[in-house]
This record gives sequence, C-alpha cells and structure tokens, in this order.
Amino acid sequence: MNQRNGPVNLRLFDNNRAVLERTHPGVVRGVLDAEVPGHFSLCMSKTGVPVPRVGSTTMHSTYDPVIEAARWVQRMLDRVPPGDERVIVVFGFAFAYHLVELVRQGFRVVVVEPRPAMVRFALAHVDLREVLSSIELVVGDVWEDSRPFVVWPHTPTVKCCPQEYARFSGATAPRSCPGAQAIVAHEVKQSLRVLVVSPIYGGSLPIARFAASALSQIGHTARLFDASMFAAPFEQVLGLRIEPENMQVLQRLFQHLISEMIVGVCADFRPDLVLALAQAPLSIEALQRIRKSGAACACWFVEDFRYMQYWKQYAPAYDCFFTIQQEPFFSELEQVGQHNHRYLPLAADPAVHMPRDMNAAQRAAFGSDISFMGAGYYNRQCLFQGLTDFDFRIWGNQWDPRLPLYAHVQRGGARLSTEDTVNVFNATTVNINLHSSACHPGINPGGDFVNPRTFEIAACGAFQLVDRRSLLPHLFDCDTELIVYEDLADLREKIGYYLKNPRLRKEIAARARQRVMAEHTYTRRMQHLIAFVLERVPDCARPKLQPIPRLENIASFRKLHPETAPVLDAVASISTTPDINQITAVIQQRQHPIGYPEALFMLLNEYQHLYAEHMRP
Amino acid sequence: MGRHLVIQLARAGDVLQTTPLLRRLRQVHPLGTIAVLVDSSVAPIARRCPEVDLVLEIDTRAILRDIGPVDAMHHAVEAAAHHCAFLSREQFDSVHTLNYSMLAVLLGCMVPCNVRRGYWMAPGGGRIMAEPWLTMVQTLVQEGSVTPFNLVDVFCGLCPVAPGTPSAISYRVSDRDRESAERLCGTVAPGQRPVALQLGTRHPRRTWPVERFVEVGTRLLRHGGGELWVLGDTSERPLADAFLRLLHARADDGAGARVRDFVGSTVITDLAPLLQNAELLITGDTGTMHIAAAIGCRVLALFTGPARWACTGPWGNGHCILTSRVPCYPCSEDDTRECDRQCQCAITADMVVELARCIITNAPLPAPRDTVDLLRSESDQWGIVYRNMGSRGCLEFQNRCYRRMGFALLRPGACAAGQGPAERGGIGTHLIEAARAAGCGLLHLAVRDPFALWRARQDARYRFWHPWIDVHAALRRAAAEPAGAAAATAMWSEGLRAGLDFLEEHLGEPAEWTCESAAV
Repeated sequence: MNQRNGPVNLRLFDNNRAVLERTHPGVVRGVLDAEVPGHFSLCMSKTGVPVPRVGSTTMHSTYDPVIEAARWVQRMLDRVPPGDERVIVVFGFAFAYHLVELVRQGFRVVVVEPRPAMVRFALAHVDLREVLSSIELVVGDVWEDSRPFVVWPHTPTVKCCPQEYARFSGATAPRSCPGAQAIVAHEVKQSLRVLVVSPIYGGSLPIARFAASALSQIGHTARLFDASMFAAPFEQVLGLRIEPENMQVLQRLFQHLISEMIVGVCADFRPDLVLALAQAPLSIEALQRIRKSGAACACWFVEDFRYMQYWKQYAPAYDCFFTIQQEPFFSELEQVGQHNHRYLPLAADPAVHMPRDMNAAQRAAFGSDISFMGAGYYNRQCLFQGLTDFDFRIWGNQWDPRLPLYAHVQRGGARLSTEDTVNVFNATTVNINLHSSACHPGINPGGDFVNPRTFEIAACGAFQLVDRRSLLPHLFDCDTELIVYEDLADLREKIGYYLKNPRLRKEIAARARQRVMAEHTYTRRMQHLIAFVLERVPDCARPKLQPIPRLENIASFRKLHPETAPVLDAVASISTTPDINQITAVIQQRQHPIGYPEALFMLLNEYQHLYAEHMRP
Repeated sequence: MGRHLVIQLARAGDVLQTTPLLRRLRQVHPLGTIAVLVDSSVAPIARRCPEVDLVLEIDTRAILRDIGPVDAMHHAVEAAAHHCAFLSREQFDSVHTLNYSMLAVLLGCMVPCNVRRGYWMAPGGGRIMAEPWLTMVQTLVQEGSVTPFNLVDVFCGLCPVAPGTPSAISYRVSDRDRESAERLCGTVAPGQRPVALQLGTRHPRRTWPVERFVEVGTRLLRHGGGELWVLGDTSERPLADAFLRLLHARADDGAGARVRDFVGSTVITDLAPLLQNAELLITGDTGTMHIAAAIGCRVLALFTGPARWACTGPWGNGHCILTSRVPCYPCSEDDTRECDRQCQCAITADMVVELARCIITNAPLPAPRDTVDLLRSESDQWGIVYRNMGSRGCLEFQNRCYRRMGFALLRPGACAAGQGPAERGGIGTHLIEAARAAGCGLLHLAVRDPFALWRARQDARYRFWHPWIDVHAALRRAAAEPAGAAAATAMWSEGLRAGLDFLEEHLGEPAEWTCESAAV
C-alpha cells in the first residue's frame, strides 16, 4: 500500500473499503487500483485531524476542517441554494469533511471526484463509512443525470484539477440552475480577471463596453481599457501632412505606445484573460509578453474577415480567436496556425437595448414609419434611394450630401449616442436593417455574419426587416421572429404590408425579443467565451505571479528555517526587513560556494527576475 | 563505484539525447549508481533508460507557479523548499548539469557534492560556469549554421571515452508498454506497416502546415496499402481535427478510412511500441522524433523556424532531414518579427512524398531542390553527422573542421589531468572567449558570405582566418599566466593543431570546393 507521510490504519481502510464495495461497486476497482502519487501528502490540522495536500495545495483547512466545512456549506446555501427539488452536485471529494456536513444537514448529494487516487488516499486516513452510505460517488469528470441540480465546487479540488473541472462544468453548465455559474466561478477563483481592450474607434468600440459589462455581470472582475481616449490624438496624427511612409511609421509608433500602456495595465491588474476586440491597438510583441505572464489572450474578431485582412498576422499571436463568421474563415485560420477558433455571434445588452414607452415628443423626435440606423455604405446609398417616397428617416454618419437621399438623413449625419439609438429603434414602426457592403449595389448575396443591429432592434422589442444572411437562420426563425427581404421590390412590398399590420408586427417583435433574451445576450456570449478559453488555456486561471514580499521578521524566519541561518546572519547587519535583492547581494558578497540555503534564496531571486521581465512595460 | 547524478531538465527529446552520456557513465562506473534529475513530465522516459538506477523528479513549472502567488517571503521559501528540499538530502560523488539555465544550476547547487561537471555556479552565485567544451559549443551554436555537434555528442563530450566506442540512445520498451500499445493498435500485419505522422511541435514556426500534411497523407494513402497513423498529445487535438477534416474532404475514394487517430489517446510511453510497428515517421523537431530514432523507426524530419537540425536532429544512421535554405533560417523562438513562413513553404508536399517513398522502398534518395537541403544522418568515429545530399557548401566543410578540432580536445587524457573543473573552466573559458571576441566578426562574415572562406585562401592576410587561429594568440598570452595553465595550454594547442591540419589537408583539394558547390 503506497501512502504518503502517514501511518496507514489498515482496519480503517478495510472498513471503508467494505462500505465502498457495498455502496459503490462500480467505482471500487478504479479506486483500489489507483496509486497515490508522490505529490500527495498528509498533514495534521491544529485540531488533530488529517488533511491531504496535493503539491502545495491543502485540500481542507489546517486549523479546523470541520468548522471550515460548516461555514462552506452555509456560504454555498446562501449563494447557490438547491431549493427543494434540486440535488447538490459537489465537485471534489478530498477527505470529505464538507460532505459530512452536507449529509448531516440531510441534503441529497452527488459527489464527482476526478482523481480515484484521492478517494484511495481518503479511505486510508478518515472514517468514511457514514458519508459513503449517504452520497452518490462518481469517480471521473463525467456526470450525466436528468435530475435538476446545482453544482457546488470544492475550491481546492478545482484548483488542483482545472482541466477536469472545465470539462465537467462545460458539460453540466447548460442544465445547471441559472445564475449559479457566476457564483460558482467566484467561489472557485474561476472568477477570472479580464482586461477588455477596445479599439480606438469603430463599430466594435461599444461591443467592448458591452462585453466588459457582461463579464462583470456573470461574476468576473472585468476592466475595460478604453482606447477611444486616444481617438483625438490619433486623429491629429492622421491629419499631419507627411509622406505616406512616415505616416506608417508614426502609426506603428502610436500603436506601440498604446500597446506598452496595455502591458503596463496588465502588470498592475494581473489579468487572467486579455480580451481584445477587433482593431484593438495591441502589437504582436505585447501579446507575447502578456501571454508569458500567464494570462490568456483572446480576440473577438467582430469584422468581416474578407475585407479586414490584418487578422492573418495577428490571429496566431492569440490563444483563442472568436469569429462572427464560419467557413471558410475557420480553414483560413487553421492555415495561419490558429486552431483555437470558435464561432461567437454578436448579441445585445438587455440593460441597454430594451423596450421603451415613447411619449408624443419622443415619437416626434425619433419616430417615423421606416428608419435606418447606420453608416452610409455604398450598398445602402444605392438601395435606399428606392425608399424615398416613404416617411423615411436615416440616422448615422458618412452619407453622401450630394445625393437626393441626404434629405432623409437626420441631424446632419451625426453619430447617435447609444441612448438615442435605442429611442430610434423604439419609436420607428418598421426598422430597416441592411448589412453593409462596399461593392454591392444593394444586398450582398454572399453575406454571412449577422450585425449587432439585428440583435439590438430585436432586444428593444422593435420590429425590423432584415436582408438575407446565411448565418441568420442559426440565430432566429426567419418566418416567425424576423422578416427577411430579398431585394428592393420585396422590401417595399413588406414595408407596405407590415405598416398596415400592427398586431402582426408586435407579435413578431415580441418573439424576436424573447429569443434574444434567451440566447443572444452578451452575458451568454461571454459565458461561452470564458468556457472555451478555460477549456483551451486552463492554466490562465491559475494565481498570477507577483513580486516576492520583503522578509518581515528575520528572527522568526530563522527559527522556521534554521538552514538559512548562515545567510540571514549576514543579511541582518544590512536590513531588518530585507527584500530578495538585498539577500542575494549579500550571498554574492560572501563569495562562498552556493549550497542549499543560498540556492533557495537565489531561486526566489530568479523568480523575481522572471516576474520583472514579464511584467515590465 | 559511487553515486553520479545527471541533471537534465529539458524535454523528452533532450532526455533521450542524454542517454548515450548515461551509457558512458555506466561504462566508466560499472558498479556505481547512476541517477538522473528530470522534470516530472518526462520521468517515464528516464525510467526506460536501462543505465539509470534512480530517477529523481521535480515539477519545474510548479516551482515557479507556487513561489509566485504568495503574501510573505517565508511562504515563498516554503513553496520552493517543498519542491526542492529532497535534493539537499541526497549525496552524490559527481553532478553533471546539462542545461544552461539558472534553475538547473541552482538545483544542482542544492545537491551536496564535490565534483561538478557541465554547468555549475561560481562562488557567490554571480555567474554560471561551464566547461571549455560546452563553452566552445555554445560559441558555435550562436552562429546558427556553424554547428557541427549534435546534442548527443555535446553531452557525451562530458565523459570522453576512446574514439570509436559505440554509442546509442538507450530506451527499453517494457512488456507492459507493448501490451498497452497493442490494445491501441492491434497487430500490424507484415507488409502493412503504417506511416506515422506527428503533426504538432511546441512552436508554430517549427510546425509544418497542416494542409501540407493533408496532401502528403492523401497521396501516401492513395498509392500505398498501409495505414496512416496520426500521433500527438491532447494539446494537439485541434490540429488533428483540422487534419482529419481536410483529409476526409480530399480523400473521397474511401482512403480516409485507413487513417488511425491516436492523438490524445496515448501516453508518452505508448509512442515507442507504436512506432516499432511503423515504417516511417514524418515529423517536425519533436520528442516523438527522438523516440522513433531511439527504437529504430526511420525518420523523415522537417526542420523549420527555430529548429536546428545539427543540434537536435534524429540520432542514428539513415534518418533524413529536409530543411530550407532561406536566409532567415534558423530563427529564434522569441523572434517577434513578422514571419511569412518561407522556410515552411519551401518544403513542398511533393518533396516529402517523393522522399518518403524512397525511404520506404529503400530506393536512392532524390536530388534536393534549389531551395531545400536534404540531409542524411551517418556515423563517424565521434557520433552522428548530417551529410548534405546535395552540394557540399563551405559551411559544411567548416563544420567538419570544427568537429575535428572539438573532438581532438576530448580524447581520453586530453582534459588536463589533476585539475579541478573550476581551473579547467577558468582557463578554457578565458581562451575561448578571447577567440570568440577576435573571431566573431569573421564568423559573421562567413555566415553572411559563404565565399569568404574560398576568398580567404587566396588572400595571404586571411590565409588562416579561422577564429581558432586567434586561439593561438590567446595561448601565447596564456603562457605568461600563472603556473597551472600549462596543461590546459597544451590541450588547446593540440586541438588547434588538429583543426589546422584538417584545414590544410582539405584546402589543398580545391576541385572539391567549387564556388557553385559553396552556394548556400
């Protein structure tokens, strides 16, 4: 019997094994065949009960595991209450102190333990007879059951088995109770720290804000690096009358400066994940340094890959790449070496895009029979010339003032705030949605991705007519939730029809809103994004490196680690609270051969250098 | 007798490349205890080396990971001690540290021992010291293409034995490994031996494009009766998925059914018994490549990006390497310049398929194309060299010269008798660095302009431009230094003489080294 650092109580082991054979015959073989690995060890708590350690992670409190278990159960009951009907699925067996408490309180418990060796370890050291008789034990990371449930992760187990937990939670998340994921994430420190990096300007700027907000809502600590603050200086650079080659150099330097600022923010914020929206000003070199610090880097490329080709250089520099298009984009990403790609369509933020009761003044200001919100791309200028006989308002910039259509453009072609955008959607009877194209004189017949406007109008409970897109049927029912038009004639006909059918409009719009609320919110998208990142880059959730603190009390440290006495005696004359650099300097001055205690401090110093190297802007 | 520890903290391939050194140590200490300290992830490989009596494991990633997130220094010390303290309880007669890394050297310092070889820490910990042999190799490796020593030769140099002593990578496939592999692949019929593909490497620039692997796979399946085995670990699953998806789309004649996907379903110890069944492995510079070479499976290796064939090519006779001649090859893993992957594109699927067929049928190797070098491994009296199957350029000649000199220094007894490693390292490092400082410019010149050597022949001023000539000047200076340098001086003189003889001998045959053949 291979056990670590502790005498094995054979009688205890046999008694536990007998109960396990009786209650869980399916798992006995796997558990008994498991060898307890070398990095499992045993320590005793202050209250004298055994506690397992895996590497340097202690699986229960080393003070009083029983009291800790009671507090844990109370905390989880507050945060993820199972109610009357749900079974509690605990991820992590350890030495079962937390399970004993649950059983004592009479809950129905399923325990999923990914490591058979941990169960084997526990059999040898704690009395499990009662708990084994009262729980359902699953060994592995797969659990399938049709009962309603809540997941309670045992934090140290998740810390030791992040990949197994990612698999387990990925499989159970769709059926787990709503809201629990966020609390669970927080509980297991898979409440990630996410730095969202926006572009300097452009359509993906608000998406960065929505993404940051959604990440916070689902329990992560999100910070937005809002690069739009550099929009004015960047405009100044672009306005310089200089040679194109020099302009390119200036633009690169400008991006480099912002990249360095982002690296500096990372050094302070220590994110687990940096999420860059398309056109975020992050250089490849900055991405490499951020990744070296242990953070994952993901890009949500909310652009058309056919027109914005810069992704070919940048995609391999990211750990994960999220797209709003599918094939052939996926194949092309594979070709440049980016294999962690995932389709992640756009969405709406229900806190912003919501139905509003519009009063008469607001209707007058924002309303019309039909309206369009967006920039004046070529295809829109062409198609909308055929709608000028309607009560038609156009909102947005970049419309050609030379065209007769410009008479319909509102506010002199100014960009609208998000607030006013929502007002327009709500006040309009029929919202026209036409995806942009710079080369088609109307609808792009090969258009695939779905723009944010589709989700936003729907989330407002407003009615829209949208041009046909190949990916639209995956997101909405194009007969009952959205109405699709094929060309100008079709559009005119449908405008006429739906202007006369308010009840039908209302029903369709309500269904579209229902679909968005259920499936197409930014919180949903961010849940999927985080789950994918954790699956592909599980190490990003690990605690981040940080500088080693000063030595606060040499005397007590010397007592704890007598082997370091020769070094510390020399250090004491310099400082009573030395930092690792001072200790290393003393070692070097002494010019003694490097032995165990010196090497231990130098290892810390080496770590400090690595840390500084990674995190310096 | 005695206990001897070898510290090798790099990857699986490096551990395998260390085994010939372990074999030599066993020859020198037949009754001693040979131990290795390796990263936990590759410990199963070390355990399969018959010369190893004791495998010490350390989780190198966990050390830094656990030191990092602490709130007090004593927690950081505890975290470090938790992983490393066992080393201070061991006792060895010699410690050979093979990695030029602060972590490896510091772990070596933790082991009580009087004799330290390879790399070790100077008193006070101000710098890492190295034996002259390793310093020389490091100097040469800095110039990517001037590298005549496979890592196996480099490591073996730390335990010189008589030239011609057979050397081989040691890897024992246990019955249990074989059974495990049989459960995965069943019994392979004679004549139906598969071709194995290892798609991934540890760096994108080392990784040949997946669509080219698809083309190779499709054509091998169409024109051969055997299976195609795809190997890799779980991290390579997305790559394998892309490969399979594209291959099944192309191989519409049902040939795709003969593809076996082992990616993510094997552990590292399954690879050797699986590859024993394979006709050929096509791979980048990977641990799988070294495992294949160790068990005698023929290898067709594709070296791109930062992968250097001379250092880490497959060990053993008859393995083939395709590599590009683009000027930026080899690059560095940390290189942040934009990369258009010319070195990967230069190696076409046509070349790989043609070469694979020749290897499988034992046919003569095809002539390499203009943009690509085809190299084949063969033995000389010191180990393995890679013979360019096309034109033999100046650099290859130069490399052989270095090789000759280097091994002259390593013959038994050449290392100054009676001197401790510190003294040897001191004088050797001094000499090498002097040579390097003086000769570096010329080395650069040779790399940029391969005709330099040719022209140097004609020019009296540079008749012996070779950097080693500068060692001669350094030796003269060293002669004035304190006693104790004399033995080392003699040693270097002999090495220099061997190299110069080689130069003289071969520069006398200009017909073999035409300007055309010198083009790189």
